[in-house]
Amino acid sequence: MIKTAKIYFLLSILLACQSLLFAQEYTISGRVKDAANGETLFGATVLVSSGGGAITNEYGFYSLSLEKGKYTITYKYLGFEDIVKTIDLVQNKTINVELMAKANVIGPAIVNAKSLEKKVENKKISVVKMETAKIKEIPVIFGEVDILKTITLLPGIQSAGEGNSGFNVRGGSQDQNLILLDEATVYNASHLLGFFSVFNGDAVKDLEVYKGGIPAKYGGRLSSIVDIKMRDGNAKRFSAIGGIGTISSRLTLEGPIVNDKSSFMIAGRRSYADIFLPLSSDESIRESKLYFYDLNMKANYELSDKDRLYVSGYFGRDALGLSELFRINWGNATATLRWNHLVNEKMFVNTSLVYSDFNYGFDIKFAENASFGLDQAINDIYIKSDWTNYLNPSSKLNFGGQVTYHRFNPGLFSANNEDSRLIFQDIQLEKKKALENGLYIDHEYMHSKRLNMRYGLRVSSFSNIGGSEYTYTKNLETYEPISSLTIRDSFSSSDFYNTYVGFEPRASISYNLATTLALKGSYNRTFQYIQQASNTASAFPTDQWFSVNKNIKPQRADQVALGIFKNFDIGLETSMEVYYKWMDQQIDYRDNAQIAFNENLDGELLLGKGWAYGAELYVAKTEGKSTGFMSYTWAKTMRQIDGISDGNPYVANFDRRHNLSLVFTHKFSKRLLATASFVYSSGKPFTTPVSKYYYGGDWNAEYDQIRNNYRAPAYHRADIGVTLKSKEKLNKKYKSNWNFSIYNLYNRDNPYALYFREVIVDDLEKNPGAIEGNTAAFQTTLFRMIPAVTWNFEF
Amino acid sequence: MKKIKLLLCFVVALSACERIVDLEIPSDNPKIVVEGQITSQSEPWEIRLTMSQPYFDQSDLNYVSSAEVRITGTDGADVQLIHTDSGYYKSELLQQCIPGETYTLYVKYDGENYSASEQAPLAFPIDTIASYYLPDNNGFIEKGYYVFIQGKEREAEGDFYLFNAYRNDTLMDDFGSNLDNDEFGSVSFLNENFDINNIVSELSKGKTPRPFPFTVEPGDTVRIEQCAITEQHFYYIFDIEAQLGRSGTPFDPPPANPNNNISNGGLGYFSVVHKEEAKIIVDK
Repeated sequence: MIKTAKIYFLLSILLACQSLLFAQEYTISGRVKDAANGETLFGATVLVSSGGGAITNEYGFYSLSLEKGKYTITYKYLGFEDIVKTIDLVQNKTINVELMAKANVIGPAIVNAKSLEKKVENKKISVVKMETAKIKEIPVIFGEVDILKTITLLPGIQSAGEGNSGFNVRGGSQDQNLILLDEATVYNASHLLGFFSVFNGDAVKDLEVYKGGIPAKYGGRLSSIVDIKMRDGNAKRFSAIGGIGTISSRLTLEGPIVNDKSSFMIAGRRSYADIFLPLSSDESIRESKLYFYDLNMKANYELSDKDRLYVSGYFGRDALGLSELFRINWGNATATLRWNHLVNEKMFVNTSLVYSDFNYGFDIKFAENASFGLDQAINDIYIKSDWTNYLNPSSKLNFGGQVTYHRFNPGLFSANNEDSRLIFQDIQLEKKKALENGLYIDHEYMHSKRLNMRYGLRVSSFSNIGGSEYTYTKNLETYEPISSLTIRDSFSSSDFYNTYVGFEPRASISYNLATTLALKGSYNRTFQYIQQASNTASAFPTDQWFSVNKNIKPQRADQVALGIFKNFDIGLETSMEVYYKWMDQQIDYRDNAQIAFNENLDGELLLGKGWAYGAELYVAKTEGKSTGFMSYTWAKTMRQIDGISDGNPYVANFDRRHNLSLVFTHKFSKRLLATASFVYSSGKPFTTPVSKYYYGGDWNAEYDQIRNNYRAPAYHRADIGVTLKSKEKLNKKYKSNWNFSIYNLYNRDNPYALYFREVIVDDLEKNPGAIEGNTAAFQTTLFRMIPAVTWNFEF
Repeated sequence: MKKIKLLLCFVVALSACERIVDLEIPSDNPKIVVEGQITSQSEPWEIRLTMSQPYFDQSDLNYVSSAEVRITGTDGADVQLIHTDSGYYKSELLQQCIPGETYTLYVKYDGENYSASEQAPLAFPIDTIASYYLPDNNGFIEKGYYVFIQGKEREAEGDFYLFNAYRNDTLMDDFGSNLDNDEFGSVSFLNENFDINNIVSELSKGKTPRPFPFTVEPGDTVRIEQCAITEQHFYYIFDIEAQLGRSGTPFDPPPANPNNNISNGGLGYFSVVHKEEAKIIVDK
């Protein structure tokens, strides 16, 4: 009831605002699209001669309310020809525009930049936007386009390490990033245990990453939002793009359903490393399975001038197995149904119904009477509605809400066949249910040409529904729950027995000192109610998601960021940002925690504080034959949790003090493009032994009580890539290109893991001088130099 | 796990994915290390005292020869252990611990006092010991002769076992984990649900008992020690094995010291176990 009352209250305020502003004004609205394929353009600017303007939203929609009169309106989008329209505004007008891509666009830079004199204004603090076209120019491992790996080149976003598609944003853990694909949460963005991310570059239109200044519209994660949008599909003609790469092959088909009105896109990708497995001399490898595939689908249909439906989905799966003895497979499935509706020229609303599922399974067969499986899953269904009221050219009001129903299956351990069932009773860890809500209002306001602001409030809530909860008594020395003192409380299946509410104010402000110089600042508070239990260095599909409850309070973060943005006439964009973040209820694990398949998982957790601060520097050259950028981040990430490091502050696992990326692209001719990049980051912190002791016939390590007392050697690497395009023929739609790349050009032996053990016989050959039985430090390296070739086509 | 690692290495073509590196790591002062176990069987009580040393110090083990060592029990036992050789301390007479009683080890060395207590657990004897022939490699173990046992768990939860298997008096200690608890009771070494009277027919259906995973030959003598241990002791060994199993894959556990029962910062473990034995001579 209280919730409904709140909604009415908000709505009445909105309506009041609107009626006040109904002066003698008319509205120009419409969509901006790409003339070549009908894809809507997100972030295109619509400039009015007398000042002011609008930016298209993610559906290409814009709305501008102006007083009666004559105007010249310019539509702009980077890499496209401007369109100028002169209008006499005497009534509301719908103007849909299609922009033509510029011929011979010189390889533009990574981060989307609007027209030069405007871009300082348009850049939001702590937000980066990338288009796949640019991402495709940067080589990544095995020549695969990988949008998540590429964003880690940007300031403030650190890769969680090689062979891991996770990333850390401004001192946040990997599960504090909300990854959205067409509004659907993607719980595990990794293929092949993290070597690749699940996003097919051909299916993705663009992505935005919010490291801070997170608008009130988004919620549910502490550190960042990665908002990925799939392409709508070519609305003009049928076309196909695809490629054959070192690891996977891709094919995307797209075309109009009804010309210019509706389109579809279907993109598939599959790896084929497993094709070579039968060639192995090792029998167990010959019988192994190892592959991933993913499928992106999207279609849209224009119901009327005011209504448009979108349906999109993702399905991906990984399988890894040793004949029938051992198998592991996991994957995400998402589906989004969206309805764009124009209430009137000034009011745009999108309502979405979203389904998201991640599940993971593991099978092991010892014998006919000993064959078992483990299954875990998280499953969400949610409805959300986002409204935008274009009050006037300087004011925009966004509001809406979301209701999410979460279901968690923490684990079912079951017998896989009749004979095994005879001796083994299935163990189902109790399934959990929860409801998460969010309601927000957000105002974007341009006070003057100099001063812009955006401020809002999100109110979130989370309720555990039914089931049981445990209360723990912990051993004061080891923080281990004492099992005989664990008390269980049960609640009926419809009982909302525990509810948390969070108020999340968000604000950002921008002050232009000159057209090319701006100061910006932001503050945001975020809450997070679900998280991933991960106690190893990298996040795995096997790491289960779990929610807050009576024992675990919601995570909370407050972040402030300040930035200065300056552009130079020679085509240089620069920015510097500093941030400080306070985090509460941060999760770590007691020593020797048992987090896999543990009904009393929360008893293994330790909660405490975190704080992070840093400075980010970014310089990009966006024009000319040579383009590129340099990003440098200095960052410090700390945690203080009772029970770890004797309660003293310690450096977080993902603290990397220095991070540097350099990306340089040169266009030699219309057909030949070369890219070179270099990355450097400080080594991972880890805990070393301080002594060894002999027990049980082995040398054992006694580890330092100080967590992360040591830092691994630094990580650095250079990559190069060359793209050779086919000759362009007039009136021929067919195009192709070859991409050659070398990963880790100078064959750097980067540490993947460092660990300590006794030298065994097998080590002697590779380590001359080593003595069996001695204790030593070992390093594993994942990727040395790897050349790759990819052939891409489109028609 | 070894096979998974093999597969992962194959995936990324890591023929030389591992090497020894030089690291300069900190060192702590040497600490006393206790390795001791007393059992329900009548035998001399013996423990060993050594010192820890810097991780990369490859010199010989430093043992403690001048400590005062005593074990007392709630059953009235009070036994002095005398240094014999290489850090070993031994009781003069045969001793035996009684299930349910608590035993405490006292060590006085270099002006410091250390102690450790455990309550002696209880267990059933082993019912049967048998062997069988596995005709084909089943993916986990090679073809050959194997030994297994059958026994009963106590009804109440909370049984923890450590099995020691001796082939012709040699401890077979590299077959991975020889720990067992009743969490997944029916797949334990105790083979409660395997029809031991019809081994051939069970095998022909593809069913196998859970054997001790090393092959033996006809004529071999195999002796199994079933040690019922305390929960803390179980997790001590479990955590030590996890730490020793590090291999540089992402599956490695985070570094952590196992929880032990030695006071005053001592390392190692003093355990009280209930031991039952069974012996078999393998035939064809």
